[in-house]
Amino acid sequence: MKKLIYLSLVILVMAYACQKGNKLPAVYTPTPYQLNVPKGFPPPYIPADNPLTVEGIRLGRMLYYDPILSTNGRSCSSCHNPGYSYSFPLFVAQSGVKTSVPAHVNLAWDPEYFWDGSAPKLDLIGLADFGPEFFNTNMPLLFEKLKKHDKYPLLFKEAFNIDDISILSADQLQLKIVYAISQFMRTMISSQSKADKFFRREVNLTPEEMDGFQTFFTERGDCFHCHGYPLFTSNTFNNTGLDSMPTGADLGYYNVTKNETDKGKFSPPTLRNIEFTAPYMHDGRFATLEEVVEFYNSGVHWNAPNIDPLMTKPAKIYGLNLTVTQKANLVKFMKTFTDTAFLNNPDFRSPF
Amino acid sequence: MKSIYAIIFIALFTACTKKVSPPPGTETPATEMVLNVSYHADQVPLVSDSFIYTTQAGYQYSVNNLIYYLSRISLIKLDSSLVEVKDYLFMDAFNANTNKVVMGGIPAGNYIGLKFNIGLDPKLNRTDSLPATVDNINMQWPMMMGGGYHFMKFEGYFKDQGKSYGFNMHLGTDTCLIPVKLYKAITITEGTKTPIFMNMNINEWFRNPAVFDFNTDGNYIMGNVVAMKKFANNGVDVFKF
Repeated sequence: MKKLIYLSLVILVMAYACQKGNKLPAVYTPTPYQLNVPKGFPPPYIPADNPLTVEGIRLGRMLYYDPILSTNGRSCSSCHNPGYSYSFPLFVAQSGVKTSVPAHVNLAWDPEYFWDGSAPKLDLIGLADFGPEFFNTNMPLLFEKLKKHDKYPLLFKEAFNIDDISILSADQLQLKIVYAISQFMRTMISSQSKADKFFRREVNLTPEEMDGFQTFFTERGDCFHCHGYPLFTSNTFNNTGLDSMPTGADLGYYNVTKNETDKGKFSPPTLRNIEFTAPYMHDGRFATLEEVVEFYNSGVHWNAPNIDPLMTKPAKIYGLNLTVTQKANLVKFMKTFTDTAFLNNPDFRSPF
Repeated sequence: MKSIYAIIFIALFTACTKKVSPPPGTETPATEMVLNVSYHADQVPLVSDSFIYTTQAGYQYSVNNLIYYLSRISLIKLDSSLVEVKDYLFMDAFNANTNKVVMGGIPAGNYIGLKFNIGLDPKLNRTDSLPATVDNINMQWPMMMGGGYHFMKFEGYFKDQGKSYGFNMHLGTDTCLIPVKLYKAITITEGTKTPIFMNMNINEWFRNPAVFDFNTDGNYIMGNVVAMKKFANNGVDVFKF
C-alpha cells in the first residue's frame, strides 16, 4: 500500500512539473541576433556586455516607443521621430541651450555619441533620459506599471532572464531598459539610399546630382574628408570655423576634454537622410541645407581657434567659391542620401 | 600476406594516432619581429598641437594628425632577395598601439635590412581592396580623383608672418608611392622576438632633396600632382634605424 502511495506521489509531482503553461523555463537563453552588416561597412561596435539578441531588440523596440517610461507622455520616439529620420527639429533644454537632435541611424558604427562626444557609450546614453529634463521618470511608479503590464514581464524574462523586475534596484532597471533600447537602435541600419545604389553601380545619378557628387568627393567642395562613404562621418572631432570665439555649449568637445585644442570641435554627423534632419549644426543654427552649403562656401570663421587644417584651402584661402549652380547641385546630391527603405522599414516603426 | 596485413594495420593505427601537444609552457616560442616606430623632428620628439618645429623653409609648424600606410614590409636577405613579413600596416603617430607592431611567421636567419613603401603598392591601392575598417574607409581616395586610398594624411598648422594657417599634406595615387630601404644587420633567431627600431624624422618631409615651402609649393596638396610628387620625393629618407 505504501509503495502505491509513493508511486502516486511521484507521478503527481512529475505530472505537475511537466504540465504545459505560460511560464517560461527557469533559465531562458535569448536568441543571438546577427546584425546584417552592409557590404563595405566596417565591423560594428557591439559591446561584449550587451550582445544583440532577438528578445532584447524586441523589448528595446517596445520601450523606444512606449511613454510608460515617463510621467509626461514622452518616449524616445518623441525626440527621435521616424518622420525626421529618427530625429527631431530642435531640442531646447531648460538651460536654454538648443540642440539639433542627432538622428538614430547607423549608430552601431558610432563610437562616441552626441555632438560633443559627451556620451562615450551608446548603451549608457539613455540613462540621462530618466531625469526631469526628458522623461521625468517616477521609478517606483515605473516598477509598478511594468510589473502589471501584460507584456513586459515576459519580455524582460526573455531578454534578460529576469523573473521579476522587483529584484532589481532602480539603477539596475534603468540599465536593463537602456541596454534593450540600445540593442534596438543598433539594428537601425541605412544602406539603401540612391547614393548607396550609385556606389554599388546599381543606378545612375542625374547630371545635376553627378555635378554635386564631383563637388562633394573632390577638392572642389572637400566634403568627403569628414563625410566619407559609407558612413558619411569620419567619427572624429573637428572645428569647422562656425564661431570665431566659441563659448558655452559652442565649445563642443572642449567641454568634455578640457583640452584647449578641442575648443569648438564637434563630431561630424552622418549625412544619411540629411534632408529630414533640419535644422543643421549642433545648435540648429542653419534652417536649410542651402544655408549650410553657403556657410562652407563663404561663411567660415578662418580665425576660429583650432579651426581644422582641412578648412584651409590651397593658397590659404578659406571658402569654396562655388557657383550658384554648383551649390544647388551639391544639395541635390546630398538629397540622394535619403533612404526611404530605412525610413519606412516596419521593423523600426512603432509596435503599438 | 600476413606482413601486408601488419603494414595496413600499422598504417591505420598511426593514421589515427592523435598528435600530442607539448605540455603547457613548453611550446616552442614563436619567431617574431617587433617593429617599433618613433617620431621626431630632428632631435625633438613629436607631440601634437605644439608650435615647436621649424621647416627648412623657415615656417614654425605644429602637427595634429599623422596617419599613413606602410606596405610590402620585407626583410632583405644577403642576396638582396626579399622576405615579405607584412602586406600593409595602418600607422598613426599619435596612437601607441600602431607604433609597436608584432609580426609573426618570420623565417629565422640573417638579413641586411628592411624594405617597405610609404603608401600602398598598386595591388593594394584600389578602392575597397582593403578590409572595411573605420581607419581604411576614412583613408579612401575618392574615385573621382583616381580611387584607392590616401597614403598619408599629415596635417597641422604653420605660422606665416604671425598668422596661423592649416596645412594638409595628403598623399595618394600610385605615382606618389614612396619606396624606402633601410640597411642594418638584422638577425632573426628561431623562437625569439626580435625588436626593430626605426624613427621618422618629420622635418625631412620639408627639406631633402628639395625644400618644400608652404607658400610656394602649397599648404594643401591633395590633387596637386606637382606638389604631391615633390613632397613624396622628400619621403624617401624620412625613416632611419
